[in-house]
Amino acid sequence: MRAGEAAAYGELVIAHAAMAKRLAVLSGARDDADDVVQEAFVKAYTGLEKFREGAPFRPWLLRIVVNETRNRHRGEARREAREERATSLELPLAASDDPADAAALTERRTALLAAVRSLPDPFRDTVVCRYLLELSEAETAATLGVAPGTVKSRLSRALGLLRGELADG
Amino acid sequence: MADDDLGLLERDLIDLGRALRTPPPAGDLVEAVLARVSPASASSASVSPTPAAPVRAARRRLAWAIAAMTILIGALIPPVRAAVLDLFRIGGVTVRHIPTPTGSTSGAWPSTTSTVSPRSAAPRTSVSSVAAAAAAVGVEIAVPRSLGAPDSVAVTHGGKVAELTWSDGPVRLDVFAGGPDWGYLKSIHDQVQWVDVNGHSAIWIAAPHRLQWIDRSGAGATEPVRTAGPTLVWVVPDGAGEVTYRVEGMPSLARALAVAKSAG
Repeated sequence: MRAGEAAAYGELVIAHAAMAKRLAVLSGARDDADDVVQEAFVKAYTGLEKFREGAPFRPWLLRIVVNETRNRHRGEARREAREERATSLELPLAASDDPADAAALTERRTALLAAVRSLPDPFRDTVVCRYLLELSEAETAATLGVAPGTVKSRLSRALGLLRGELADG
Repeated sequence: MADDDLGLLERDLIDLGRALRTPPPAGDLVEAVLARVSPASASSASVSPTPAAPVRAARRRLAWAIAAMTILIGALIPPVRAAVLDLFRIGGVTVRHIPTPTGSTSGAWPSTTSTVSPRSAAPRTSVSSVAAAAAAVGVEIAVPRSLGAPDSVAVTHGGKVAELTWSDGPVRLDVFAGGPDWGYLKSIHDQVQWVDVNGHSAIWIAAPHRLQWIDRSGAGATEPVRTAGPTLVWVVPDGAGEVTYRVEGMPSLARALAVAKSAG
């Protein structure tokens, strides 16, 4: 790699690092989220020759993040989700003029986050990409390596599971 | 995504995502990654300012211009680098794709039309006719018949670009021969749409995007970075190479294409 390419790749790392880390944390990485992100960028660079020119970089990188997190934490996140609240995620108190409203909203968000984290991995990852990261359906599909139709059906099923979970309280 | 298509739960999930705070990436991430992919050059690798950062100081603007120029210089961009930067050229226009800033949608280019001013802010020399502009720039200019006669004709960017404007719209047409050392740099968040104009490749950029003139010689490089509106870029081969047309201000692809095709 020439120096110019290093600078160019550095720029790319800066552009995508926050999103990559958020996805790592939301898909189950723990104290090692920074390691996951670093590893993903190195693997993304190493694989650039195989990268189809003109294809968007972001979903391709995010797919590596998801796989890296999965490999390190297979099955772990879900088991521990109920016992331990999102360790690396901070849910600041909602902003509202009325403290009671703010507390209620924060409580609802906390419950929703716990419900998302307790979903089976494929559903959780789909909900995370599509809603929490606000990726498009196509980007979500590319990130998770599934067909767009699968994203649709998983979302529909995941929303049903979440509704059930939240109703059970 | 359009919020009104969503149910309550979906909206709550999006709201949750926006409320979450994730600790920032490790401070040494860039250095660590570069050291691992390129042990030899890591110590000397400098990291350019992020493209989305506001460019205030002249020095930073200069640094950015130089960085962008190193991109423009390569007539042959190595595929790896092109992949890294999601970048391509069409005529005298280089387009780089920059992902939408994370966190919120407010980081996108201003979506209002208030900053979309089709008239160039660069020093412009008015000329009396399209023929005079063509002679000054050194290209043939085919004025789109559907627009009629332009309301103003000028030469910008050190005599490299002919600028025709129509006050109705307003519409701006830039015609120039791109060189390896100069041209427009467009930074976009969304993908472009490839279309065909008279048998040649063209691109339609529907969303507001950042537009910058780059010139390694320094001539005419004083136009500030600005936000451009919907733009169609097409090229027309001529004896000496290719002439680049850039029309800004047409509200839809269909109307932009009609304009381009009427330039025969």
